[in-house]
Amino acid sequence: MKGGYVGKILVVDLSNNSTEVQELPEEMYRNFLGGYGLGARILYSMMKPGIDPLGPDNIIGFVPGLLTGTGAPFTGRYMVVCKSPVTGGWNDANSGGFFGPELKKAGFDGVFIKGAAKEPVYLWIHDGKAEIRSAKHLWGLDSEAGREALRKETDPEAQEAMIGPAGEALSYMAAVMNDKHRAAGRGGAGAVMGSKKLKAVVVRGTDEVPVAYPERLKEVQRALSAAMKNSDLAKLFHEHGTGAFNGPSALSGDTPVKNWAGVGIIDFGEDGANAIAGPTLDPKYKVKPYGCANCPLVCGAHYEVKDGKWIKGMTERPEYETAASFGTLLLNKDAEAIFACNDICNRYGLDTISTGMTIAWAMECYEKGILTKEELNGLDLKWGNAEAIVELTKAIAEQKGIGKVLAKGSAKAADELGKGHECLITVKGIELPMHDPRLSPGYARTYQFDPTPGRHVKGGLGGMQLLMPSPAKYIPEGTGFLDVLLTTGSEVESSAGLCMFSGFLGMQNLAQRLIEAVTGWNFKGQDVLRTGARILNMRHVFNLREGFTPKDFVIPPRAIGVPPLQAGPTAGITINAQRLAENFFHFIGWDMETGKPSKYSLEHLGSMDDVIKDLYG
Amino acid sequence: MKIQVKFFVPLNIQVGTNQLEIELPDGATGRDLLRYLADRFSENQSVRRRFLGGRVLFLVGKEFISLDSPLQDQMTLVILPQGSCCHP
Ligand code: SF4
Repeated sequence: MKGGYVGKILVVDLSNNSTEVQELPEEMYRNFLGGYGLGARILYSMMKPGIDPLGPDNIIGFVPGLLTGTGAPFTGRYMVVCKSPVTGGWNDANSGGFFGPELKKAGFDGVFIKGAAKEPVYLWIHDGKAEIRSAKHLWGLDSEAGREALRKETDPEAQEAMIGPAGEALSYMAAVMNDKHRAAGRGGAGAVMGSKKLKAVVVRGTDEVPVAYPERLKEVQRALSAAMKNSDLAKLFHEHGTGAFNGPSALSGDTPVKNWAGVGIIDFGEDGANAIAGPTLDPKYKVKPYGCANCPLVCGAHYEVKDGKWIKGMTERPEYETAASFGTLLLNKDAEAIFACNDICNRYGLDTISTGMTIAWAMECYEKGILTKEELNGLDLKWGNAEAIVELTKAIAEQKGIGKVLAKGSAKAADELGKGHECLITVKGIELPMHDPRLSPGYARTYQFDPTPGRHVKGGLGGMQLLMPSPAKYIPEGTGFLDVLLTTGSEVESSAGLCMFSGFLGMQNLAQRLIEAVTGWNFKGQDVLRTGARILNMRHVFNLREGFTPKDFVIPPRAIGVPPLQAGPTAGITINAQRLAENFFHFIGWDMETGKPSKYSLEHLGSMDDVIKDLYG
Repeated sequence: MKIQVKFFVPLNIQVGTNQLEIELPDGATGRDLLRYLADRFSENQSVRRRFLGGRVLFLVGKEFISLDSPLQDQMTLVILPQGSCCHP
């Protein structure tokens, strides 16, 4: 072993209270790195298909990135992996903060938990040891009180990945929370923890994670610091975080408006866009910056609301996705209402994207008379009604009245109520995030066909196209190779534990250089492509084994301009999502009908003999 | 001709002003304005690249106009930086 990983995972069975340390060979890390790459490989082997995502046979993994814990810049991240109760397929969700590095330092490259406890428990891992402890007295605590209580009874410097009341009550929008306000939010992993009666995984570690070439790592760090100093965008991002571009996104067609049916400049206006912009809010509310472990950029911030209607005191600055989900999308111009919704979601442990989108669905249903005031807890759920938005968020968090139905997410709510399907903006049951394919068409392919559908953080053409002029970016021909290249690059970046914002500094091949410095491997461009493709395929075949085919992944017509918007910067645009998908499938080697990767491509990728056997006998 | 240019947040932070009155030759287009602004803010490389690369939107009232549009005397133009949380 040279560096980056510790070579061990912890496997816990809550049904029989057992813990087992397993050693992994180096080739596991070489082939799947860490994070969700390693997670996908392990879950495919350990889990049977067809199991109930909220039953004891689901396995939930907490897996730091390959480089996490080594002190490499931008690598404070870990990923939660499991079968999703929302999509019924593969799920991974990524979070920053300090939990990931602590787990590595405690001696594990991942923790995988199966079974279900009879009564609430938490897992306490400290320097190579693990204990399952009762959490009866912690059940019901929110992410802030829970963190305090857990630290009191374990270690004042312990880090936790935990659920709030939303996860305990099995909300399909429940997130796994760490650092009180960081969320592995999407796909319902919080509900999976809740179904296992697992309140938290708490870790404390004091070991060092080995680094093969510390000098080379320092060299990269020095180059990054120099790039930071010269980057005006890095300064902007440090000051205002992901909210720096809330305003332009609300008007440019990037942020969806009015449940994806509106136009920013007409429905939300310049005043709305200004009201929710990070730089407008920071001078009034920002008290100090916040960053994840080993991050040179530090993009988060703590806010203080002095005399607010909903919040008084400290809270977190909402990220772009949250400000868009509770702001522009709902035509809500009241920034403090957005803070309140963010605060509720963080405390109860809810995914802000799905929660905002579910409220957007309910608002459109209300506007169209599909849902009545009586059905909506008496709320006048008109677009932009800040009061009603905060009240409904609370109702979802506490599962009161209609909140109990909406806590399942918009798609399941529509099924349960037997109406409103025409207003859904979901793929495979999960709500789409806050970047609109009508402005950046590549997002259509990513949202539709990433193995975790509906994710803006997964790779593809979308991000890059945002800055490209029309009409070139709307031509789908010839996009396949670049789409695959960007997607596989993103798979490596994430599995290595790098934050996606590390790309801001424009440093070429950052992931590759860090992997080489930390692990001591020879890891070149072709390794990025092959490893990324292997990880992508591993996540994808998990879904195939569940019986999914490409036909199960349907992009909502509205999100691709069917019918097109009549005004605004993306007026008249319709995306050829089918062609984008065909191009991608062709280059990654997947069959468009069945979704099956070709036998040749799996053989070429290697380490997938069991997958080949499952698919081809 | 004289036009009023407003820099939409966060471009105003990057250029250090909210608004400018700019004099341009008659018949100037949006692209001419961007070249002028690239020169004027040439010390800030990312701003300069943004203007020269056309990574902005022009808003007049509630209408977005093309960067190639001819500009009108006395018009007020809002310049929005094109970008997002993940791709500034
Ligand atoms: S850039 Fe922001 S999200 Fe990324 S690691 Fe740094 S603080 Fe965390």
